[in-house]
Amino acid sequence: MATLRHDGEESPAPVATALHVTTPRRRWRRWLLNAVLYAGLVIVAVFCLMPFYFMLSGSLMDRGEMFRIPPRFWPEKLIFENYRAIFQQFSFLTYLRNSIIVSVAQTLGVLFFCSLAGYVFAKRRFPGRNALFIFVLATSMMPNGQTTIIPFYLLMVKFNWIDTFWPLIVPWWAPPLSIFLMRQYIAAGIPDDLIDAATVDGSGLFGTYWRIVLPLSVPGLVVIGVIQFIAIWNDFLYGLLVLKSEEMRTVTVALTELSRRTQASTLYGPLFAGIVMATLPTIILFFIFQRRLTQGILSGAIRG
Amino acid sequence: MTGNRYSRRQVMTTGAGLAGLLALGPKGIAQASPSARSAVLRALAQEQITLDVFVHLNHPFDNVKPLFEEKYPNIILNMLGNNDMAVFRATLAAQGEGTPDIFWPEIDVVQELGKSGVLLDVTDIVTKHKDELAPGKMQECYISSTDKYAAFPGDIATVGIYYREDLLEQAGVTIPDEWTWDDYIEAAKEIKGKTGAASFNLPTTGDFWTSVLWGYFLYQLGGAVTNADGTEITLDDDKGIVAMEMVKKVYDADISIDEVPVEENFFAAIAAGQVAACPLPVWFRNFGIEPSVTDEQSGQGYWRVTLLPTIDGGVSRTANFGGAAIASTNYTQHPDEVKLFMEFALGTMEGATACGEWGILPPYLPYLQSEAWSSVRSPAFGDFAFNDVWTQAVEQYVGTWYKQPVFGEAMIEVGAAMIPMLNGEVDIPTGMRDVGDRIRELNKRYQG
Amino acid sequence: MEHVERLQVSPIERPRRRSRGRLAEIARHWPEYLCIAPFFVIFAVFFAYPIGWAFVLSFQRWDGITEARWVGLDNYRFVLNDPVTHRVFTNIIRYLLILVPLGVFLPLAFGAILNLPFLRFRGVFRTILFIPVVTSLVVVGIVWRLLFGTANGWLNGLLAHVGLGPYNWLKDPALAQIPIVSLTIWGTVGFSTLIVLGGLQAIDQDLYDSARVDGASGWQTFWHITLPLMRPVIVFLLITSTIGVITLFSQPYVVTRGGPANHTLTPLLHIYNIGIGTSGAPRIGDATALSFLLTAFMLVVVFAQLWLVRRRGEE
Repeated sequence: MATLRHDGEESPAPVATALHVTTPRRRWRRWLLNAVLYAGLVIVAVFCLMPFYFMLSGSLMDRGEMFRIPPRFWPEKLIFENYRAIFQQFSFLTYLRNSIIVSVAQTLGVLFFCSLAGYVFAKRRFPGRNALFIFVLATSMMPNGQTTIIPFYLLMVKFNWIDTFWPLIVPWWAPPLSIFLMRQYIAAGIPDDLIDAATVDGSGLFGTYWRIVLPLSVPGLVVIGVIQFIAIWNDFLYGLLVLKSEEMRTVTVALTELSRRTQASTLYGPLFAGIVMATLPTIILFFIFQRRLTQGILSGAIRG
Repeated sequence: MTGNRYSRRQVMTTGAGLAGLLALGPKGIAQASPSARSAVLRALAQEQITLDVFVHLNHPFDNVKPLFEEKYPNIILNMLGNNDMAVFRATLAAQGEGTPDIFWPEIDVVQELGKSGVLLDVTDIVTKHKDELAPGKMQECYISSTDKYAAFPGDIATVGIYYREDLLEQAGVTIPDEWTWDDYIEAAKEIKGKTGAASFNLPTTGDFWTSVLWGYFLYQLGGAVTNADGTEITLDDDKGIVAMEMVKKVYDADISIDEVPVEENFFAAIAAGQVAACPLPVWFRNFGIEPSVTDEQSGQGYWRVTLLPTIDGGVSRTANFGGAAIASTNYTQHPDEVKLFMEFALGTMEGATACGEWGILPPYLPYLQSEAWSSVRSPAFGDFAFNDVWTQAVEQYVGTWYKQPVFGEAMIEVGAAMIPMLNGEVDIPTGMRDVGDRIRELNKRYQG
Repeated sequence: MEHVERLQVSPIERPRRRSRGRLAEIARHWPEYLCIAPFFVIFAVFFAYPIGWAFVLSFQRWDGITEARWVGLDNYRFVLNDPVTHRVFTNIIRYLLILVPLGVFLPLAFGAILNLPFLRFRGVFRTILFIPVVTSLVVVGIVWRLLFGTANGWLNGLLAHVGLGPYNWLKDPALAQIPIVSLTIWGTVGFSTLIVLGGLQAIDQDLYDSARVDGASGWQTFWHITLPLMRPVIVFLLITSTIGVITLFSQPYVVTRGGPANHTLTPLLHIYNIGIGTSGAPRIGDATALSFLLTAFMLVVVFAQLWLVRRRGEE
């Protein structure tokens, strides 16, 4: 406890700094502080995990058990019926497949376009760069989403993109916030010398991008990749709007539809099973990329 | 749901047909025997028609679909399971691109779209069945400004009192044939005192759920939110005020449960035996009673239905909550097939029976007077013939509960304004007049 | 934002007086423009066009079916005087006052705690804090609604064990804020904390060492070293929380539907309701007018914040 690690000592609590001499009173005080600290963290952790618990237990409950007064916290008998229902009755695998297709296609596009644009904004000079970059940021504040639903739909009709995946992929290939993040990351994280060296070696813009910038910006890419993947995975508004047929529906859209029908209360079980199944892929994805993701965020993808 | 199965069948049929064609080939057809040739041509002539049907998941038409497709094998119903109004309106804005052939709109939507002329005119089939359809329901589908029927009558959403005989017995209350709301409120106080259970649901959410009860009273009085074509707002006239005063009486008696009837909490309350009686719509049996009533505590076997009590100066012993219709638009490519479906679904014994078994109240009078309808039983209701009560309710169903486009927002605003009126913070005539003025202003924003 | 202002155009590239030179300049940099073109093309086609159309619609009366009719500023007049508009802006200001401070201080606090040198299970807590971020708020909102139900809500069930009476979470105007706020915090604090952690760990340790040598106390270290160096992160959190709060939609949509009596109605939810015609015919002109008013509001708030923050930084 006496040795201080060299990564961050900015905690305002004075106790943390004066730890070399440990009198019994100090030790007791430190023990108390630790107890409070860990207790607090545990409470926060419970708060974070509690909804997953309810999702899980709800998905294993029989319909009759879910709505009881007083409420049940754990099903008396585990029901796997709900999971069977969600896969048999509702072609859930199709929905999962669709969600994966849409999310992957969209994310790959984002990674490419945003890193390219970010690199250019960060390291290349050209007339109007600042103004254009500010414009990019400003667009993140423009009204869209709920307001522009009908014009957006009409546009999709004109493109003949209704009931295809394109409206969920192409318009989201260049989110301003991701461009901003990539620019920050590249500006701060990739030394100019490397780029200058490449230019001296005769590599053009794209060559430098492909060989130097892209490999070095992997942590940043992971960050925006995961963010975008999750964002489009969880989209329901646009999916609801443009996806018509059963085969094209994504997981979140299907669950939203299902949740509206749960007023008949017969579908709550499958709904919860669906929620668990819908959340699982994103959680798995998170665990796979966790190391890279935190590394990316921590190494300053978002920094001054 | 069943989307995959049917598209596979479609594919197989089309595939088989194509394979057959390919096997014959153009030269093959020319050289085939005359009988084989005409068979192929006949098969080709009876082309597959697919109708897109926009209804919510788990809908009465799920029962109708197999029967209809058996009768008309060349028509396939594509049940989209997507009843989202946002999507639907977007398709209308796109000049019908993606608009379904058949959908299940609420009556105020029928009136709104009907007035704008975008709905398929079904006057011919409605008038054909005029004598077999409930007049009140037909009135809902009638657009006064164009003198046409814009939709085929769907389910009649009458309202009755659902009650538990066991709890009423416990409280020593019996239900007479003719009773007034004042009688009911007195009885409810008894019930509350002896069993602790509620006899109304009056959610204080301040939206349209709050104004439901007021709507029931207004309906019974023969009043409405607007006049027949929506040019005048009538919710704050004398009838509206009387209806609101009646709600205040209920509120003051403290005999209601503060829950929205379609939410989980209410189902749980029913299951826990906290509801002894409640005015609820006919579709509530399938919706909320049957899933929640599973044991003795929830009163299994003891549930009953009866008509609403009378209100002073009232003209009806039922009310309305919801209710939809079958409609199509002028964008459909197959208007004749659509009309075939509409007639079949709710204008024939077969279709009406299928819908009735699902749990809605069809407007088809011959079915309502049939043994099949009367003999439907439900474990929650024991051996009680509840459908006979609903048939009586249909006879009480008036056509004066006008639902014009501003209806939805009006009910929300009334619901919001109700809370201070019920609390006593605002006196009722003033409160109603304020709401009326607000709705008048909103209504102006709709008219074209 | 800071770095944008600090970028300079190098002297060599200052535009020459003659327009010819300027054009040649632009032409010379065609690869750069090509790289950023996708954004502008996508934006123009999929966003600028619908936004422009929506802007035109805000001066018309349209129900989505019949012909649109010009009504000039009538929609704006109505929306500005509408009591519901006042209510949604009251709500959004309330949420700004609650969620933005929470959205900045909570991540800072958690980040500071997770950064404590002696903390054990750091990775575990960090992960647990972050997991909610990957879920869909719409989907979890359903769970939230059941959590806060009155008669059979799980929260009331838990409270009943300790003898606290059932609370009308979703129906009481005052209490209904709690599900919305808690859901929002739940779904966003993990990500913000991680960003704070990144910022904290980027601070050069030599600064702390030399401060310690100079005898600075913990508090002084915090105030004069940590906080100024964390300014970009704080500004980032401030802006994103603000934008996130002003565009709050999913949480009230799923959990409370804007109730009770519009006390959790956010502007976007209201726009959605009247633009789509959730109840009644759609009032598309009113919806688009309100959305542009909301955008104006957002720009004002964000720039006000940037200005406030900038002034302090120049001390």
